[in-house]
Amino acid sequence: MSHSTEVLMPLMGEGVNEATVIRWLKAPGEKVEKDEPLIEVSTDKVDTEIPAPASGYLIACFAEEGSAIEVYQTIAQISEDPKAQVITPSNKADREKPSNAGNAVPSSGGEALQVSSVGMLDRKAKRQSSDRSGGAYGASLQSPLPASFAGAVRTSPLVRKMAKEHGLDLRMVPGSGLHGRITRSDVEEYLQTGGQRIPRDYAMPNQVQEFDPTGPLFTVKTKNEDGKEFLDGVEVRREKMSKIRWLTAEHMLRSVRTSPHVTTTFEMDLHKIDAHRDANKAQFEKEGVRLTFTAYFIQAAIHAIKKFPEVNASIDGGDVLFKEAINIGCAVATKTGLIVPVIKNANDFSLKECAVGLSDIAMRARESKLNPSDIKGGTFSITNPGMYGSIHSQPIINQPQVAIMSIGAIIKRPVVVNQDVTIRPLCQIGLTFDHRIIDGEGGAMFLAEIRNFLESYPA
Amino acid sequence: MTNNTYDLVVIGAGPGGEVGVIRAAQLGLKVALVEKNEHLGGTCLNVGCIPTKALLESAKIWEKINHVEDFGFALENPSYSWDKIMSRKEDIVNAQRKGLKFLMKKNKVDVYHGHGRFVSSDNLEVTSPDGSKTSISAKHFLVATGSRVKEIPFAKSNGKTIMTSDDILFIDKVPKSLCVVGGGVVGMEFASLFARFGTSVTVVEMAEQMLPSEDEEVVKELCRLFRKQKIILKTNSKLSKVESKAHSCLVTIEGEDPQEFDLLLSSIGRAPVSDELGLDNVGIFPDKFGFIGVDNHYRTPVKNVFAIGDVIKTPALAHTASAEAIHAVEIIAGQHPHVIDYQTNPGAIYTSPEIASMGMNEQTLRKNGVEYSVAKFPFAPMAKAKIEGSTDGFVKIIFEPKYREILGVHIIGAKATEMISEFVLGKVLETTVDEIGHAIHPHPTISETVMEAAHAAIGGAIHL
Repeated sequence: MSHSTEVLMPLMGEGVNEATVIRWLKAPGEKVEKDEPLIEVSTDKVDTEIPAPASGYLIACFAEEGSAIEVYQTIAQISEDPKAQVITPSNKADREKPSNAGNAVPSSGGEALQVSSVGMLDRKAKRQSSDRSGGAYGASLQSPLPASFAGAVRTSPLVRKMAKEHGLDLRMVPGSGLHGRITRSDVEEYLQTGGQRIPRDYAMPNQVQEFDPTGPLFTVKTKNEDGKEFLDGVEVRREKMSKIRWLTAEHMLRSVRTSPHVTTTFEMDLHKIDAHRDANKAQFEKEGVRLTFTAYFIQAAIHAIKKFPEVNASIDGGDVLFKEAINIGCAVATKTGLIVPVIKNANDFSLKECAVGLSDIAMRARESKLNPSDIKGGTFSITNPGMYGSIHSQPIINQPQVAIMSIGAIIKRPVVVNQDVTIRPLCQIGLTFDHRIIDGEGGAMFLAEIRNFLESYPA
Repeated sequence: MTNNTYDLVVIGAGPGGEVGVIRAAQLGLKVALVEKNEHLGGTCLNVGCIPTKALLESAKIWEKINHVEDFGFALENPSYSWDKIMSRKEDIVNAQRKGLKFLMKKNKVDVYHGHGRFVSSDNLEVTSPDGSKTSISAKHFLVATGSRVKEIPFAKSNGKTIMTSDDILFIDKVPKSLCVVGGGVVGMEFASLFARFGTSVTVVEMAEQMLPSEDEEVVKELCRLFRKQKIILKTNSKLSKVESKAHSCLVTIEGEDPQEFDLLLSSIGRAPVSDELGLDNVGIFPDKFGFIGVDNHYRTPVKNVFAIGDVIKTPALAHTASAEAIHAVEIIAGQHPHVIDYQTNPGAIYTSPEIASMGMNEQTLRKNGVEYSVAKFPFAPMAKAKIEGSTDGFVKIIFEPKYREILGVHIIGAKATEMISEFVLGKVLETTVDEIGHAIHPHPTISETVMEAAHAAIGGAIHL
């Protein structure tokens, strides 16, 4: 079966909920090249052309000229096969918004940056320079973000305009300017290289200098004669970070800056899980599936998320984006570094489906066979440092998610049950959550639900 | 012969070198300054920016006095004393010299008076005015020797009827007639100075435009206002002969009859001072004009020798030299300063009216085929301009139409040299015209013109 691409009406700026189709630039049956203008649309803010997201044949147009189409609606179908079957256009308005939340993030300028589903916005913007309310002045006045967000990334008005046009997440752009400020040339370079470039000198985009009280200590003095370097009087060897190390560092720094982290931990009795696993391991093995404890934790998380949807959400300025899909990211340590591949659309997964999904991503992660899409779209994460013996950890939230569950080591301990001391496999399970959206009570109730699920697991 | 060793030795105590040594001392370097002239401060303080601006300030007041009846005053036979004007200028220069001496002492900078000459890349020989020699060793050197006036080969300064800017600053009386050769910044400032004291001034410029590096529209406005002040301006004009007499000189411009002037001011530009430094002893070879080649950290091909200011090919301005010196010294101290963006480097001309600029001018953008838009707003409708009696001039913003990034700003009019700084900061922060227009400017001020020009760029000026 040949690959079909759905073309969605992109989001063309904050507050723009729909666009009117001016005219189609291609007719059904015509061949289109990727990035070739497909359709002309008009919004309150701009008139623009939407480029084709992929090369192929235009199979169908689902939007009539002159009609107003909601953002994220399917407007066309492109396929490599000219005889591809016409799909039923789905209303992606509800489905796409949450999964795109990763790209709808607060920028430093207090404006939400949006990436369309086609991934770009070619704004040959006929900006009406006379339109002062909608253009230059409007955006900053409507800013939904508190001013404290503004310091996160150093940018400039020019850079923010460019980012908005190209749907760019400025937090990913390394800044070469004064104190790590992102400049015009940084954005141009980022766009040209598709973000593949590791920044010169590995300057952190969010330089900590101005917040870091220990800052002055971190002046590396270079001895000119023999090239030796010293940090605080101690000789050092300088080595460049790998790309994954750098990206991890950047992401972690951004996360602790973004979310007020709170961790709460429950001790859970896993004897029923242990018994169930012992009873079913062999049968799973026969079917080619490895049954691990983590599969149960994923199942428990799915169960609890359904009762506490705010754990499966993102924050967009003053709004909360509740996600329809439950996509569980599982932290995997690989030879090159930390990766969090995602088990997608796990809403109705059985234990077996959880186990299958887990072994699939874990194996592909270790063999470096993940696709870029495998690490995108996570809505909740699980990390298991217990496999190395850790009993309790306080992980960092995987942005733009709002919570991460951490699993401690399963250790047999004597416990009091009905006035008797007995031996039970115990495990400390923690939830680290974003206090902006989840309070202590909510975090505890989520874990209580997890405990209830695991401790009353049917035989 | 004594021997002294430093982390850094700076040669030349102008606005580049002087700032450089202070920054070096702040960063904990052991630093020395070598200056061949009696006074610190270089061209800027001794025969440049400071004394000229002091004289121009007197001219500004004299100009106001001549229009004082507009403000409701009646002065009978107002007069001035040229001697007092000159001594005020000297007082200001002396006070600044004293200040510099204090700063050197405060920052524990060793000052060597004498001519510095490289013996090797880590050794400099300083010959003091009495002929004694001192050898100074240093890990790093910063060449900040600046520039000297260029002379017209057939009309060299005689200190009486033919002068350069070095001599004219000490002239004992206002000439009746003055021929300024070279319509650059120096020539135009002296033309503006003496015209206001009643001299009949003619400016002769070889290029097709006075102030060739300034924006064409701004220069056109300045020339219009100069002509109103009876200054004669001749572009595309070349001097062919100068005959010096006892109290005047006979000047012939190509294709014209000879004309007699009290004084000829030669202001055809400045040349870098890179000879007699022994640069060839270390392997640095300036280009045919005398400029030393450097990278964007001001490092010469010899890695421990740096050069900044008029002796390199960047704009020959005092503030530019200072910024370059700070950068070079920070590099020497192992820091990582940000590379200077010359598009944010302002220019200031103290004619009447003043001119200030930053970034690209219109003719350059046109020549390079860059797409641009222009927004302009005149001073005339602004209340404060009328109150101050300074309604001539305008603010012109050249911007890129897509994101409205500021490409160049050109201001002519009162307080232009103060107002340009808003745009310099804006450009450093990559501000677009939108934010300039969005920023509230106090009322009533001349600076409202800036906001109005930005409004014009984003959709419509209010008060026009």
